[in-house]
Amino acid sequence: MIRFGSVALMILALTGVPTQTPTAPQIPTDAWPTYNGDYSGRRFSTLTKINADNVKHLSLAWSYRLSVPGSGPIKGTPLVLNGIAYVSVPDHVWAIDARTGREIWHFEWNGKGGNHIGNRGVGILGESLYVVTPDCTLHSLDVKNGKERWNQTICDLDQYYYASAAPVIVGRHVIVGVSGDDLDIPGYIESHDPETGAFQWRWYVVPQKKGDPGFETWPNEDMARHGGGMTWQPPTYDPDLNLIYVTTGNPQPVVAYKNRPGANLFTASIVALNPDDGKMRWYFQSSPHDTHDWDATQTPVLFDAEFNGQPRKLLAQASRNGKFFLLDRADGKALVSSDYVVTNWSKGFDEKGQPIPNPAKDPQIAGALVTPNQGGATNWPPPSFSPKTGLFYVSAAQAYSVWYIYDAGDNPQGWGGTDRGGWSQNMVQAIDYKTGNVRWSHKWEGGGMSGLLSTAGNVLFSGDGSSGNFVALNATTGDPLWHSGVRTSVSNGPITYTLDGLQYVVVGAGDTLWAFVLNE
Amino acid sequence: MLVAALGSAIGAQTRTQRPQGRAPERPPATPQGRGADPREAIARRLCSQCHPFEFVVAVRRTRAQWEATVENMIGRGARGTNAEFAAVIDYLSEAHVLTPSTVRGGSGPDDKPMVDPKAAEAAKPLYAANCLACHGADARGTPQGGNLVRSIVVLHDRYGSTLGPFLRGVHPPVPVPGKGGPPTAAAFEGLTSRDVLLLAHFLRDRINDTLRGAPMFKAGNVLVGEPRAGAEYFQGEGGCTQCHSPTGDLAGIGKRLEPVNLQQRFLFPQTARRQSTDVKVVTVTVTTDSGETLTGALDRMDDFNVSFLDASGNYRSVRRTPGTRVVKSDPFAAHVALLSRITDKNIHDVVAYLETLK
Repeated sequence: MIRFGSVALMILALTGVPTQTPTAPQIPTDAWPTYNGDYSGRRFSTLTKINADNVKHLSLAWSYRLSVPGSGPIKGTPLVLNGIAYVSVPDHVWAIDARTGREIWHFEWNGKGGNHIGNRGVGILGESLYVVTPDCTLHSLDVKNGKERWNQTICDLDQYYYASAAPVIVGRHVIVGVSGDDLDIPGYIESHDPETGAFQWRWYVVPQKKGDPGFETWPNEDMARHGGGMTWQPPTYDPDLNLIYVTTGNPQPVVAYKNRPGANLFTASIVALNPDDGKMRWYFQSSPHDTHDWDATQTPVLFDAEFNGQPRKLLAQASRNGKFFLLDRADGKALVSSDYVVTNWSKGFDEKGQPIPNPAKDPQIAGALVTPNQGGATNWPPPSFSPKTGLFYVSAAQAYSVWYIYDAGDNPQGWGGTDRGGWSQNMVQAIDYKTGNVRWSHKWEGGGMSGLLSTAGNVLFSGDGSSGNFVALNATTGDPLWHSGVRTSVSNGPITYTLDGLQYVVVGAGDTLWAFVLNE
Repeated sequence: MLVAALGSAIGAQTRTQRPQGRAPERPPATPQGRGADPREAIARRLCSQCHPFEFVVAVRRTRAQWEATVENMIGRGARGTNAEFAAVIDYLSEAHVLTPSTVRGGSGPDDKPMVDPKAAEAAKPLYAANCLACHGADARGTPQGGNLVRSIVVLHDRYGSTLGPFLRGVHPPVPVPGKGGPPTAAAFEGLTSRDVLLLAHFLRDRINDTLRGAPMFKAGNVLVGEPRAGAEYFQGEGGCTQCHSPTGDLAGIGKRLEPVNLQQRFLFPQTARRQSTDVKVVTVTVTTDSGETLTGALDRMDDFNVSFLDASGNYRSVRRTPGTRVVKSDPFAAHVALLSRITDKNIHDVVAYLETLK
């Protein structure tokens, strides 16, 4: 069984021929084989056993609490293959029975440091599971027992890099990004051989020498070479175009910006790369010259749908800066640019559909009141797109804070400032992809964001922030249909799969996975 | 014995110990003060065979570093019994230890170097003489020399481990500091190991200066507004006088709060309410589907339930059905409403005005 599901994935990866139609890859009904379920990032399940009419009868099947106290929260999305779920937190991976929640094996890494802020998940190809640990290490584990096959160093801890991203497997490539924004260091994403771990290619987000693409958007080589742009979210992939869509983080120095005038390419951008050689095909900059820590690493969601009467290959992102973008994913041209919450930092969009920052809302010594705040209008919790409703769902916040410059010198380093204080209102925004307008908004009393899952049963699953419930909303209207208290905030993206005719919905909240089913 | 002690010290460096940043000043080794510890006498006697003792303790070290240093000295001929050397290590590791400080962000390697402020301070003349002209006072580079805060050699350094070999063999030729002349690869040959160690502390301190949580990571002057304009906004457009009075609740506010905290407090009063003696709470009025009306201080509310403390302090919890009506009253609603319309100039003016209320 392990072999069957994994090999199917491998064939998909090797040949670029998905099991469904090439332009509409779908999540298998009995598995959740990648971070986003499939390569598209839609987090849309075709399962309908649980639907808007009967979801009110959902009940607990099992819960699993991480066997290492204090190792959570679970921010990664578990993978499910052949009836086994794989869940990860920094330095740990567990395999558990997806029917019962019983632990099968546990991998623990005694690392050498690094920021333990979170682990986003694992990747699986054949008999191998891939995961990163904070100390800049990429591991290959035996999926049967969690024993390590090999490990590779992918970044330099001494430069305050760390690793948190979920590896994505495309063809013969394990593609993984890096994290870290304490010091001024360049972001990159790189590829390794799945079998041996051998390095294959690396794409630097920022120019490493004069004349590199984007160099003209930096004042000098030193600033460009150290310009940040971390790649801490997994790319999505279009097998038909053979492009991976990589999202990049904020520039460095993060907040004090005096020594980096310019757009600072290719930070805070969506970038299309060839997965075989790491060469860039196109880019779209979601936040030109960002000064608010608004990385644009939010999932670039791929779907094929009608736009202005024509079938199009689309890419949508609800970015941390409060802007929604709909692009043609073949060439990166913007079709829609809009605000999905109120923002006060930009002066409209340029001819490419990119926001035009308002310099008055850059951080100031005496403070500038800005919305969104540093946490953003959204952040890493994965969004969802339902082809049934045509709505792009995002966990969002209308959040204000005051942004200060602390290092007013001519050559700031690191952060050089930050935001402080704040007020926020959390909500789910359902965005009409054709217009960028918010069709419905469901506000939460509790603070905090949640990953989302939409299904063909017209259900949208979400957490309700610090209220500590796992909630089902009507995907068409946003009306709440069901909830269950899960003790603390939902902390990852929910998943669903069917085993033995039972549709499971599994979500992480703190150090616990909760699995719900519809008993008949 | 030394080996065993070294092993246990290394073993003790667990995940919970995240040495980082600047070491705090420590009190004397014993309550009795310096000189009262018999181990100090042993240390003075043994070390003074070759060094002035104050020189030895001028730089703080971790226990593992003191162990390595003492072992090194034994290798160079220091004389004493095993018990005496163990006492010396214990003493130096307690009285002159480089201790983990507050964590600055939790990033970087577990074994990142710690900064001894005394060593970083002692390095300043050395840095000024050898490095400053090209690398700048803050080590962030000049047109003549690179940015040392971003230097891979410096970031990989552990107490001179990479800095020393670099200065003595790899650094591009420069004139001998203080003497001039043609550029030479031997420009830094005069630096002792101690000099390199001090410079390593100085440079690590400059790196730490750039991290969030560094001493210099704090607000600058926020008093850039016009008090008169602030007073006008306060009394007019801002609507502040509906609840506040400069001679009532806000009398002396400029004395009680730093300007930046004044700014934060008036924009986001919710975040400070727990510290306030004048506690304002969100209240709810709940009309149940049976028509009963209840009211109290909000505890929690979501789409499905609402809980609150009633006037008698009783905890109440009500399920929200289609027939249930919940009205929330937020005492800070006027402040929230300001956020979407107040300008930065208004903010700075109001802070300048509030600051005058002393």
